[in-house]
Amino acid sequence: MYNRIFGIAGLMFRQAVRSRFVVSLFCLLLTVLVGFTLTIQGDGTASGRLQVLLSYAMGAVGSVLGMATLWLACGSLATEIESRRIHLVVVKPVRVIELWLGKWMGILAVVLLQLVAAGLFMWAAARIGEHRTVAGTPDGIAVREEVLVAREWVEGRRLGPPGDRPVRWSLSCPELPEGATGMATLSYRFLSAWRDQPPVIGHWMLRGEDGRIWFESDCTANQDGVNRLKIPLAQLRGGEPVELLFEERPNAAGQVTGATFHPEREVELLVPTGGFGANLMRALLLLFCHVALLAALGVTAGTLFTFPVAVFASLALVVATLLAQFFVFSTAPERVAHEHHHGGEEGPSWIERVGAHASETVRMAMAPTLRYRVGLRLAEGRRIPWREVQAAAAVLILGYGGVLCLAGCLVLRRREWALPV
Amino acid sequence: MQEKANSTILEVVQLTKVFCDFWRRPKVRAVDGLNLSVRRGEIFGLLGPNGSGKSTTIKLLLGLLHPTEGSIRLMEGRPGDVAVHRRIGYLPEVSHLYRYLTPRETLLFYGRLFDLSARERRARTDQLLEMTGLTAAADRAVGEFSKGMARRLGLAQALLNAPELLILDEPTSGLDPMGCRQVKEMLRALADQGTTILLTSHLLADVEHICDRVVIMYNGKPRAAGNLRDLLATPDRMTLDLPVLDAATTRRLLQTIRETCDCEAELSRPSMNLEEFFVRVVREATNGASAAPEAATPRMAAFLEK
Repeated sequence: MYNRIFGIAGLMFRQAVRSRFVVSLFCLLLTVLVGFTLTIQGDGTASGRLQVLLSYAMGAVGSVLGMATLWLACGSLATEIESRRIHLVVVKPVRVIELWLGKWMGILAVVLLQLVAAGLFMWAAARIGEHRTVAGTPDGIAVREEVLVAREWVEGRRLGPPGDRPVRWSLSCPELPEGATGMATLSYRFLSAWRDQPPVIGHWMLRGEDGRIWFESDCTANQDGVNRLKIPLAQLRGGEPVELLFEERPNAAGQVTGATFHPEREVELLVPTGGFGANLMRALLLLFCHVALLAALGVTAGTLFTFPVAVFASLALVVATLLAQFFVFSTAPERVAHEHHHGGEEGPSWIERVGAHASETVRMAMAPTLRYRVGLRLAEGRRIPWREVQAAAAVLILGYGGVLCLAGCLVLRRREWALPV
Repeated sequence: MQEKANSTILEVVQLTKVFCDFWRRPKVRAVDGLNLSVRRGEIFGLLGPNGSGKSTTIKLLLGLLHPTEGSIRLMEGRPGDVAVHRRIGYLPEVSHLYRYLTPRETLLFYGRLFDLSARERRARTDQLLEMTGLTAAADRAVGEFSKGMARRLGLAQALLNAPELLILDEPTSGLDPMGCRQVKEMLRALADQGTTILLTSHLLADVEHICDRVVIMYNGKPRAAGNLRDLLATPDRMTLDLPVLDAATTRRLLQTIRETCDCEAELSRPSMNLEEFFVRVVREATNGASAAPEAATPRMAAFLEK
């Protein structure tokens, strides 16, 4: 069985190489990545530039590779059926699942090759960016401690009623690697409607469950933007609950700003637990899981339709999945029902109700496929955990990919290969 | 053993295939109530003009199409069974090969589909490339091949698994006369070794040379079937084969025959057919064994012994 699957996969890979698909895609990715590297300026700092470069590069690699994979996958079976080359394969002792898996795995080999190349480029660009900064300068520290790093993070849970002073949060300190040195970051921001507000002067304190103070520091923070407070790792205890306190103090003029914390991500504690290289690899693996799902979608679409129709149908499904997340806000069944109850004289038509239920169904069915996204985590130096990569592989590849594989095999089993297409 | 040799390898009963349009309305009745029985070790010919249903019948036998009515029993299995496909070799009407691959890669790939070990794959690939005269072109892309070369490679892939049943759709189409002769020699050698061959053709001379039994189809229906020798026999005529005689002797002989038998007798000089003449000329021109059709037979024997 494996002989046949790897044989078909090898053929798929060889075809992609010899039809110059691989080299064309490689050149396209290289052009995009080099273009970004040469043109992105960011906010003028090395860390800002690197953050923008990493987030853009991940987005571009995902988009280009996703579209190219979908195109390749749609053609993998559809063109063979159209050209009748498939006849010589299916009259051999090949099961339809072997055919499907072989095609899919061949495409994944192409994707993996491109992802490795893109990953190496991004890693090299990041390291070059690091070497161009001077260690010990604020920009150099930001690059090393906030971008090219993998940090666990926990958000603080507000304790006490609103307006309570000092403001308190509880959080659980992430596990620390053995013999960890360096600095954790306490990230916080205020809710500010105007720029150039006076700075907030205050005092931060971290204390353990037993009431012992782990760390305390005065701070002067801006009301707009994200503020960061460095905490030596040696002063934290991994895995233990911690209480975080902030008390605003009067400034030189004896005034208190009364600034309130931003309701989203009021405070976060970020603790470095790994390096950039491994984090980049996990980010690329998450991307790989998504692209593998697109490949499965394309191969299955190719069992049903001719090549151009398969590409169109697959793209339509991807777009519908992405848009369903937005449509649902305006057409959610409960919202439609609510408007019917409290709205004008006319209630929602049956078309609106069907549309609302359809978009909600699509959203619910496809929501897990959008759960495992890299987002800005790599650029912000946030750790992408291995368990998330495993979950993505289980859900996207085994779950959704498995369903698509079964659907594809069912179609192939019932298919009359020699019928005109 | 004898029983196995005479057993039926393929049985088709009332096979019918109707092609429908998009709305499932019947469009063409390509095969209509075909009954067929092929015995082990024979060469069976499906004959008929273009559009008579030969290729459709073959596709039905291979599971590439599903019958509308009727049944097919193929080597104690059904068309489409993996176990059946393991024992079948197939050459389609047009050799649909991967144009980016070389002949060697093509045969190695199909060898993997038969689950052959790497060593066996390589050995059979080399033998078949030599047997089909493609060794010199073994590392050229198939896309550059002429129709005849692609046909030879198609035949090689059909023989890769040393099949019990070889199904060939127009096996000599696109081949030059030498290639045709070579293929026919090969098929005869394979049949002598026990391989059953089912072939379609509208080149009747090819069929006449190699087939044991035939069925002639027209408009999807079988119109005549049976042993080729019986079908072609003319029971009311006979031929007397003699060396060339002088004119006077010939006249006397004809006179005697007419008087004795009280019947019409004709005298004609036999001539070789164009194919035989062509082969003789080319053999003399090459003055060697490599292009001669006979050269294929020992190579075939070597392949079959493996």
